[in-house]
Amino acid sequence: MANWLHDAQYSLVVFTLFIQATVGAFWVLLVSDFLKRRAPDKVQDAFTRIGTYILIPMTVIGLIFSTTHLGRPMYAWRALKHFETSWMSREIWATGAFFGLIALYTYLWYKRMEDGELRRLIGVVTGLVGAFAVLTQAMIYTIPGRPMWNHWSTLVLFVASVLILGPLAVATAYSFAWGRVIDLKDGEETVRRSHRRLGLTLLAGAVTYGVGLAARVGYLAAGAAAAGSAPGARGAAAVGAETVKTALWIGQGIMDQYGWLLNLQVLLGIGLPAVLAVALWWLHKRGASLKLCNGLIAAGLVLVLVGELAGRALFYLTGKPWF
Amino acid sequence: MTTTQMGFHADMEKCIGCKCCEAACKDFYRMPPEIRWRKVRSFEMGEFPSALRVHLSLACNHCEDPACMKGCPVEAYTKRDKDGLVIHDPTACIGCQYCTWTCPYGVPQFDPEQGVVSKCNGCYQRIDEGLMPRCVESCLTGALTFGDVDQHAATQRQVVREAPGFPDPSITNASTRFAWPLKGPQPEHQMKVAPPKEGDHHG
Repeated sequence: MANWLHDAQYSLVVFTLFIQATVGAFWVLLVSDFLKRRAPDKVQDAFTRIGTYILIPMTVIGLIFSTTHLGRPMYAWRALKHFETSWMSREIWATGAFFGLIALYTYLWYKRMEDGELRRLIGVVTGLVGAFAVLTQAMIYTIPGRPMWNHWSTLVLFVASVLILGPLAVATAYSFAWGRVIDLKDGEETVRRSHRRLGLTLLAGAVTYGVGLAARVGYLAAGAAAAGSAPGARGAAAVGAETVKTALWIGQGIMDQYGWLLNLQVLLGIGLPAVLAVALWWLHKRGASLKLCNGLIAAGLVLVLVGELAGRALFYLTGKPWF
Repeated sequence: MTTTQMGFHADMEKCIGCKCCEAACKDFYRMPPEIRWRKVRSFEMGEFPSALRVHLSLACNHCEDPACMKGCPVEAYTKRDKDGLVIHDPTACIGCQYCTWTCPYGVPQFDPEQGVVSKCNGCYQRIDEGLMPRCVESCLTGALTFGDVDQHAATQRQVVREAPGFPDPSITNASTRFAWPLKGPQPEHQMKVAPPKEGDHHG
């Protein structure tokens, strides 16, 4: 294993991204569930049902990777013990509960489809638990022990991953279902409508990600500049609260060292979703082939995931021990 | 409720950077090569022509509000009521390494071989027997001492909560206290100094 991958906490990169993607995917499916509440739509129902297929596998992948960074993974269950003060313990509770609830929600789609009110009620609870799981993930890193992460941009970046990856994963599932499980003609309007909504969500996600990343880059750069402006050696000014500047200077140095990860993050994690949103709008306006749009979405998911992986790896790399 | 808070006092004027404290600790607890519960950091202080070479011996700060204990998901950390020492139980640890992030002072260390974290426990078994921690006992110059934090003022030349490069002690109310070198910049001036580099003997 390459050293930098180990330092980048690749297990936690995959864990956090897959759980965030699942939360985003679940929100999309729940909104679909609510939107057709007053206007029943069997085709939309069929798509939403198929969309739920991806929830459990994505969470399972995330949960498996949550244990691979542990020194003693067989005792992972012990992490449930300290809910009172530990955000990590709260994260395990929330993620475990989220997993159980999406399993129940999926079950209700397949076995009790007629009971929409109960399913939506469970769905709202699941959506809130998912939101809490993302909050716990962000709070884990918002700690004075690692000043490079101790900033509001951590939460914003995590939410942006939810908004970008989840809808893309659902749209890709729809693409595969269309023409295979659902009739091409019956499903066309639903797929076109989902693309329009996907475009808006991707734009919102790209803006959120852009704001979060700009804030984070600015936070590290400002700290590094403050450390560098002290007389004497760069990185001086190190007494009491001043030491935070040294930490930020170290974080900035790592950001410079791994500039290629930052480039991938900006191009594929922010730029590509925005371009994809505009491309979908333009292609649908010109009545382009749905197969072309679906192909773009599937390719987009893969490339955006690469950008998100790069960005999350850089996030972990910058949180280096600093004293 | 902790009645007495015990803690280390490190005098940078007296410390000569011999690392006997580090070695004594490692030897006593039979630690693997890469794990050091006590670390001596060396750095420069002040400016030419009156620059100083200073050494800072640090281990666990047995904080009054330990971030490691708060963040640990498995309750592997406890804080003793009678002396405030923060104890880590490796048998409870699952090796999540979260404490290595939450501790601002970089105290807990992960041992990949054992799959668990470990840290200085303040030699609590020795304390219970009325002995001093091994590092304190081994210090050649008396630079490192241990006792009731409130009593340091009566026995030490200077008692300061901050040291060069040492992260903000107010985050966790660290119990370690310091005395700065007599001739160098004094803490009240908040002088800018180069960050200490662990194990660096050449500036």
